[in-house]
Amino acid sequence: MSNDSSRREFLVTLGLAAWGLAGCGRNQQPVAGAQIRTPRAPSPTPDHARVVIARRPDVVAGDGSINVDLLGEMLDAAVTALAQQPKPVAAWQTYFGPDDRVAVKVNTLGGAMSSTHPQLAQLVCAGLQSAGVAESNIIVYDLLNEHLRAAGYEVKLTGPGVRCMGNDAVGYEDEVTVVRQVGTRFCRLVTNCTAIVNMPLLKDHDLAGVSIALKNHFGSISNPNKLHTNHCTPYIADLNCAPVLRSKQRLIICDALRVGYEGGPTFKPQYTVPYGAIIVSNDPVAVDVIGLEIIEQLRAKHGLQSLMALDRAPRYIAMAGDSERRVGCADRDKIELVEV
Amino acid sequence: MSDLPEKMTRRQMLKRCAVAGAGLGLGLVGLGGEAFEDTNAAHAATLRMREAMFYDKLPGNKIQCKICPKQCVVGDGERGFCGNKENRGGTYYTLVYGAAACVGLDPIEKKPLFHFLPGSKALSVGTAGCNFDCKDCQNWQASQARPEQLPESSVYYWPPTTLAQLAVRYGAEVLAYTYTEPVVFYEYMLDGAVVGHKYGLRSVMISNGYINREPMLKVAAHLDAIKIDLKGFEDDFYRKYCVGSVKPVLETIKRVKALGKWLEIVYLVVPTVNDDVKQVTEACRWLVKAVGPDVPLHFSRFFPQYQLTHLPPTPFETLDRCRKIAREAGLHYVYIGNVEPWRGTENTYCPSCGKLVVGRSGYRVTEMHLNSGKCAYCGHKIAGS
Ligand code: SF4
Repeated sequence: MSNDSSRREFLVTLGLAAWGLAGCGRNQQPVAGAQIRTPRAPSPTPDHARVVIARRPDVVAGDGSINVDLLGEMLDAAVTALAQQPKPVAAWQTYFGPDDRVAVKVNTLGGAMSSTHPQLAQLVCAGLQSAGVAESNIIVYDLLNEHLRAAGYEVKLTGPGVRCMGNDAVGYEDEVTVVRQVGTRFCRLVTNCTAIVNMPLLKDHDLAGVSIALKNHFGSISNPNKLHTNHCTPYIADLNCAPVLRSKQRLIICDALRVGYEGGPTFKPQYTVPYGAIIVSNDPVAVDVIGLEIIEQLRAKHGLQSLMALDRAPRYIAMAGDSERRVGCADRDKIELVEV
Repeated sequence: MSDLPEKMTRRQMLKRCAVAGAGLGLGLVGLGGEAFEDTNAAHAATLRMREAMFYDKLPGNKIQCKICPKQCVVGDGERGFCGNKENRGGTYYTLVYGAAACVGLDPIEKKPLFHFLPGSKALSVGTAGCNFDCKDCQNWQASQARPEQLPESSVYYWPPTTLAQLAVRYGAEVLAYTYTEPVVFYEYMLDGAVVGHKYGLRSVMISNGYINREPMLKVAAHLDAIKIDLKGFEDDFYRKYCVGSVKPVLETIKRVKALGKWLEIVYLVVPTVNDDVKQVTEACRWLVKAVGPDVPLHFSRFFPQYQLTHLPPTPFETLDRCRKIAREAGLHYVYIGNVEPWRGTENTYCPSCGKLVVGRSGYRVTEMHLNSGKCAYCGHKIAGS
């Protein structure tokens, strides 16, 4: 059996035919259904952004457990405020519809204590379904199955319901995409979905400065290890210029329930505090600006030097919003921060 | 990293690896070799893991790798630039020990090593990963992959003893660590060379030369010949096109020469990128000065690949101009590779009398006029090992 045919059968087994993946032999382009569509909501611009933060300190209990009901209320409130709709369903429908295939990018490198909470991912999947997205058309993903499992996700390649898998299960496009200074292969879930929900964590990162929305897509590509040089600059900014990300990313829902303000990207209990927030926007640059602000506040509060003073400032955030890249809004004065 | 003579798709590349492996794999039974096709991924991954060499433990479960000049500082759970080593709880592991992702039974001339055991066969292996990210890489499908991204069916578990036994069985005199970048599968290469010698096999390293002094000295003691890619001569070029720097490569070239190991150099000529007269001239003059006129220099033809698919293949005229520059600089043995065999650019001519002493065509030795390593016509010693 050739590699191609066995792979095709494997993808059919996964039930990914509808994603255009099963028909996608090596070196073939995704099927027409996977083509980029007109976004349902306006794309981010460098000129203005709205970021909504919902914060309830009680959502994280003393033992670290999550009050899921309260988290659901926070998510509804945040998405509703972002979309400026009266009801959560209408808000979700602003961004997604029944014809969407949605890839939900979580961040699970940090293990059980420092990953996007599965409870939050579950609530997001419920929100997507409320907008009419079929559960079989939702896939939660990250770089590796192994990372997802360690973070508490159930890897689910087949069967009914929302699925969850690492890129190692589905693989990467054969073709190299070159975007400015980045040359990479995108994972096949990203290239074959119609919409992306980006669910980063809010955390410190020793090389990048911080790891929030822009950095999270290092888990959507084949060679993140090649892009950490020079504090990941300009690589993170350049990667986010890729049309496949810009045109499909509809929503960023950042998990700031617990925040690691130093010693990241892996879990360091001594530098991690319950923060009890989620940060929601359609603009990844603006989310990073606000997230960085929070990390710097926490560092100052705990007597640590700023990332700038330590020469770890994430310069790629401003770069992503510059006049050449225009991924989103990096100007704090132009970011409308809404607290709900 | 320029062993593949023609443009290959990822599919062709993987097929080639698998086919080569399958062909040789016939002899695996009884040798302890294991094709991962028949094993589960977790088992395979465990077999390939070994603690890495040359790294320091840092506070906070971080490590610093000291194999190559990148000196990656790697946090817990993360990987270095080469992508095939991982920090697990403060211990650094190679994930590719014995994991031959690319294999072949090649003529030594294909490495290319023209002045080392001419006409011999080399059992050649490479794993996933590289410490460069050359925009023109001819083997990028494996060199730029993380180990788990290669199909299991194309990866063979050939630990050093299996490798040596297979080489003996298939009549190879040489083990070659090649295709991707042996610096990043250092542990496998080192053990392979040590075991190989016990089986009477020579070992050769086909490398970008981007390696620190200590690891180079350690492995060189067990190597018999080394080929190094000098990819350009300007640091700006190395930074932009390889994500590295030129100085450590030059240091390795001098180090290998000082150690008395047989050395050949490859310069992959990429149109408009590193083919300017100034850069080529400086590289050639430096080679003459640093390691002498007898070091063979192979100008290799570029084919559009990886991130430089918009460039044309190198015109023969450009390669010919490079050859002239090298000869004018004083180099005695200058070759052009990856071009049509009929051009005769692979032949060795005696630097003294100018007569053809070794004829080659398509990596095969077609005629040889040497007596005990000397020109059969004038008696001049032809450099080599
Ligand atoms: S061998 Fe790999 S991990 Fe080690 S320094 Fe070089 S690139 Fe980094």
